[in-house]
Amino acid sequence: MDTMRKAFWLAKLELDVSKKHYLLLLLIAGIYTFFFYLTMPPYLEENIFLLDAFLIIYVGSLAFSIKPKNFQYQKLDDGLYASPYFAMLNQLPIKRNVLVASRFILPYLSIFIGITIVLVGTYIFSTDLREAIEPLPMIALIITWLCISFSIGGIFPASDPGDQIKRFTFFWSYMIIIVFFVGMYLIFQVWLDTGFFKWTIQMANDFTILSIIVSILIACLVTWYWFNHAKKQIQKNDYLQ
Amino acid sequence: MNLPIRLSKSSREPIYHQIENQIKALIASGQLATGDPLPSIRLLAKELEISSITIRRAYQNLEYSGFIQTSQGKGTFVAEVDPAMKTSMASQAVEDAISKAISIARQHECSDEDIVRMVKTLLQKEENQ
Amino acid sequence: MTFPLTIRNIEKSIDEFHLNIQDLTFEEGTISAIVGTNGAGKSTFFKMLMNLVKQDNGEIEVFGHSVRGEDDAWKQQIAYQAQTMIGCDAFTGEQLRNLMAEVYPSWDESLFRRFSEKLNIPLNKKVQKLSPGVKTKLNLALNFGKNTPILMLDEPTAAMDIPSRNYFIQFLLELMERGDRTVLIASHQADDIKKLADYLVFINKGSVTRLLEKDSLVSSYRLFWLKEEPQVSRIPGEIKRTYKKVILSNHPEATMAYLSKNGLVIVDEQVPELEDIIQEILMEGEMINV
Repeated sequence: MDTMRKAFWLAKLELDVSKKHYLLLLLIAGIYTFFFYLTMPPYLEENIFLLDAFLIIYVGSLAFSIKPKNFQYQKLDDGLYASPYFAMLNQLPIKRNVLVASRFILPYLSIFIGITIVLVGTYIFSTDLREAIEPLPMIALIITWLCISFSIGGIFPASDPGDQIKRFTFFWSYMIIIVFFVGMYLIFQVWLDTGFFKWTIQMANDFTILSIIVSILIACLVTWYWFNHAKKQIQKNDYLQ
Repeated sequence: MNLPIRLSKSSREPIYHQIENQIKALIASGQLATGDPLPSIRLLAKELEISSITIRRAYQNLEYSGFIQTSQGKGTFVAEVDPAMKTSMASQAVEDAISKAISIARQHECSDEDIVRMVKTLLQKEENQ
Repeated sequence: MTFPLTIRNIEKSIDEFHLNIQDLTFEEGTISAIVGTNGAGKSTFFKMLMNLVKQDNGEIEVFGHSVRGEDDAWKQQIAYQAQTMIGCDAFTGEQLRNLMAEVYPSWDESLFRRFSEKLNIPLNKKVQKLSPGVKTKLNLALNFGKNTPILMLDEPTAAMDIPSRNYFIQFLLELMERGDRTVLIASHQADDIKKLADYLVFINKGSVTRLLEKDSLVSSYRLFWLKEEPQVSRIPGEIKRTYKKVILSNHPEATMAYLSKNGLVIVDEQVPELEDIIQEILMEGEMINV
């Protein structure tokens, strides 16, 4: 409990200097709501892949948009990419658990705000979506997407402690992203003949409780993995700057 | 407080020794009276640009031979020194200065007679002033 | 007895750079200056002590606790000032004060206030808006406020004006009065070293000397002005000759013995300036065994 109290204290300090970035977050959320509102009718009809892709990109940008430049992952020296703010905190007597936990709070908060706004907003404005899903399964759908977003977005706080970048590191990172999107396309569009988002609607409708449980379970496991990955990186990296 | 201590760069005498002797001389000449505070070890080290270890050594020796006293938390002070000791130290200081003058004279290859003559001339000069 | 800092034979390789430190122990109440040329590894040395750079071999202990352990509580004993104030740009001085006061149990508000008021540090301005000199001052104020038993300062006086630097020296000496603090300072300012240091540690081409007491180091060198030029190119103890007749020796006894045996007259002699000795050690790679 003390760990969480201290982690929240640190997150609060960070929030104080990144308030204006939350306006940006609201703006992006508004734009995406409008975009989903427009594309929802054709998507529900023809599984346009673009909406799925944009939803994932939106999740990624949520964790990013709220950070001032000095807090973002960047080149620190020849080999290391990390968050300068993290490098500073790492010099101080802050327990590693507290330090790492504090990095997750704000990105998860912004994901929570961003996903809730977009999904609730789209649900309110889009009659097609309202026809596709009842309010109760809709709650399960929101939880599912929060959990998916936490799992994907967790990579950002997890990479704050930094990585040793070698010649092909970025190349492989881009490859993984491309493979992810291709995989998503192959599984849902080709194999299941549906869309990722559409598939989650179906799950929320057919297995409301189960989809809640499974997605929370996955989010917890993945977050736990990211958390430990971050802790491991702290002990591994050389902070030369 | 600044002490008028001048360390000689050319002397072969160890620095802690120089400090000891100069503080003794200051006490003997009455420039430092009983109960006067001495600068802290760190401060004197900074003033003289030497390490605090050297100053500590000098202060320890002075305390051991009864010239200064350290009281915990208050600092270091000049102790009460026997007047006879002061007199003998004063003459010691003069002798030291003369010895130094002699060694310089030797470097310039002065004979004993030269040195005595110079001293006499200087004494005469001082009298005339 | 546990020492504030103990190093046992640590090694680190980063690309072509290799740093090796034999046994080194820093005692309570002392100020040690870490001296080396740019890129010699001074900052890496500090960062290894802070477990920011991880050593390949060896052991570093802070008051008996290994810095590589799971528990980072030892960090509460050290205030570390890196050369650059990384990751602080978005914060104001007051916000950083709040952070330090939260994470250091030993935080001393009066030390922080006294230092920052005396040097007129604008605490409500964002760090990114401060000049390099003012940033350094703020960084020092924060590190003094931490009030820790160990202070590690990496070039703390670079970019600082003369009055502030003098105040910094005075302030640090005042902190030292209680005798329970240990300070490591890397500096290129001869003045800092002369006024503050008790011990010197040289880092040169990745190798590190043991702790050298400043005054013993200085007195182990001597400069001799001779009446005439010696016939041999190098006399015992000689490490440098200028104007043909001025000999810098790192073995004064050996040099004097040779001079008197060969009837060479010493016109004048003195201990060299600390700067000159540092120059010799760092430029000529003349490592010392005092």
